[in-house]
Amino acid sequence: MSDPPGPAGLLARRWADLERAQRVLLGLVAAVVLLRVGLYPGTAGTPVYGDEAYYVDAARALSNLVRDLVSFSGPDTAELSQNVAGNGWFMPGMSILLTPLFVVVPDAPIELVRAYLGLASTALLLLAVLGVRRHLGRVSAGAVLVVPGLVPMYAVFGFAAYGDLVAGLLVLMLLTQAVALVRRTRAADRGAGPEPVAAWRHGIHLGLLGIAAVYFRSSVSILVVGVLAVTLVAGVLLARAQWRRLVATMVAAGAAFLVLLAPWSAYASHELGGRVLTTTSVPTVLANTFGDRDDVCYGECDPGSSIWFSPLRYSREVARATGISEMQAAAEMSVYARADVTAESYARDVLDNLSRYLRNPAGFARIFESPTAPYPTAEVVGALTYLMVFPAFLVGLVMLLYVDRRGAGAQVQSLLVKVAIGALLVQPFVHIAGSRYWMTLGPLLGLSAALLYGARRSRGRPVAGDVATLAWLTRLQVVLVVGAVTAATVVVALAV
Amino acid sequence: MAVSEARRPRSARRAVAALGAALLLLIVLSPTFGRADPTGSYRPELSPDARTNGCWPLPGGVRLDFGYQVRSDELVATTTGQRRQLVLHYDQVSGEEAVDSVESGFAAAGVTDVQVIADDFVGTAPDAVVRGQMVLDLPPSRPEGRPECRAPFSTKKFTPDMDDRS
Repeated sequence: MSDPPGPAGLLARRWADLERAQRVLLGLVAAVVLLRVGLYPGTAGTPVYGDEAYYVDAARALSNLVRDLVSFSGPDTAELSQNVAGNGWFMPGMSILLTPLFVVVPDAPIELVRAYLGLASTALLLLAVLGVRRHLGRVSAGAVLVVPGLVPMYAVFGFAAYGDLVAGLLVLMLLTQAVALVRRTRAADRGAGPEPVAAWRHGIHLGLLGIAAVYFRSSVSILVVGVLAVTLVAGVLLARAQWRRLVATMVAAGAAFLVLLAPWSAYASHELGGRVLTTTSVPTVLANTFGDRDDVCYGECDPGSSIWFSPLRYSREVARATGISEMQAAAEMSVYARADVTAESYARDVLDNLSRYLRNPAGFARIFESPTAPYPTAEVVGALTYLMVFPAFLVGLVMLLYVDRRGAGAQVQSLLVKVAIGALLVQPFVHIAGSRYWMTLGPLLGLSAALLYGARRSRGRPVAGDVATLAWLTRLQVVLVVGAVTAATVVVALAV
Repeated sequence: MAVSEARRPRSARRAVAALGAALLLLIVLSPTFGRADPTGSYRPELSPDARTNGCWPLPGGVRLDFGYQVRSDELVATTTGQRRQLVLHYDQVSGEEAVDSVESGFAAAGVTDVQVIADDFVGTAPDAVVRGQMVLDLPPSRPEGRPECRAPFSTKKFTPDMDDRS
């Protein structure tokens, strides 16, 4: 008789019991974690940069709100207005994520803030990957662990207080749950599969993921609406007896989304004295992106601050002088600055934005290299990121153009990923893009790679399923592909 | 989807309860940890207008009776000596009305050495809030020494070393 094995022995036995695919996945998880541990010292001391200032300040103010609530004293409404409502540019998702840290450590140093963000973003990545493995399969889970998980710039950005990366992970979770919903609906139709979860519960889950993503990056609202709409259409096409349950689920999703959007819209509208739905930044964004920057303030804006803060000051001065809202002032400024926009100038600007979106995926490597870094990271981060991300962009492009003709599950995934990538590529049509925008796209690129790999492997195999329904799913994909190609052709034709 | 409460093992339920209690305790104790100090840097206070806070008043203490945004307020050298050139955008009035109002204001205050020109913007909507630009040619003023009277976003006296806004 031998002694019972110790913890190391138990681990060794469990490892021996694992299949090869499971070992690969665990190895990738370890690599993801180690990469972040290795990059943390190089990033930890980076001072708050750009919009991070808003997210961190809003978290500080929210932590004070928690203190005031539990000590039954009145909240500091002026502090909240200045730091949380702010200019109404950003929704406070990232700030809410950071609030618990400042509740416990009110004067948290930047190293602690970045460590907390790194832990949170890594945990969320792994949570999203667990869902992907369960509902989309091991290949997809592995692909997401590699791209974006192992892309060094993505790992570094996990220490940043911008919302782009977290929004992308929440989008991935939303997509996973949407696929699971369609699958569960079909299984219930066949009378097979697990006990169907209450429709409202699954719907609320979807709605929560959608609104959480929007709170982190309000520009994904188009994506969330698109993904929920396509899920509804594809689900109703595929469902038989269960279609009512599916519609009820989506109604619950929409309701959860709106109920949680309302507090921000109402608060920001109240504080800024005009209607705010998600963000107030659109007019000035359009003016700076497509209009004449020398006309944004009916002439040049004041020197001494950025293209965002100078117009803001002007619009606030108009509001102070006339009593109208600063948003209405900004909207009129934007119309004036865009008076000379033509279809051709707009198309050229869209292409320029698209190029900014794609050309420098490691643009933040140097910015997030701490002045106190014990070893340099920016060069390696940059080089490896280029090597990994440019091929991934190509994969995303192929995914956008590829029509999957496999079974219903694969076609639904293909539809959802196309809508999601397409919705993210609306950004260059409305906003100056930059090096952090692909952080939201990243998980979709990994998913695309897995889908294309699966399609390639099953080429030539017969397709199972109701042919008429599958034909509709294929037609929907074709519509999306033709739409994307048409939009691209029109923009290029106008621009050149 | 989450596993239902009933199926969760007892030890896991205990762990969740303990974690919840610890979090609640931290939240209840949080006022004793001190207060966070937001910088408010993304929403700075709007600087007061230096024409109305005593720093750079208009000649004769005249106040404009329509909404406006000062764009620049500079001392310029001319052939007849130094002059104060004030450029502003006027709101919700026509250029003609604005000039009449300014001129009668200065006349009432006994200031005669003033020239006012206004140009309505071209292409703005008839009900637009900001309507046009006015240039006031004024006798030079003496600067105030108080520090807030040197804040450029208040005085709108910009120096060449200030970065362009891009």
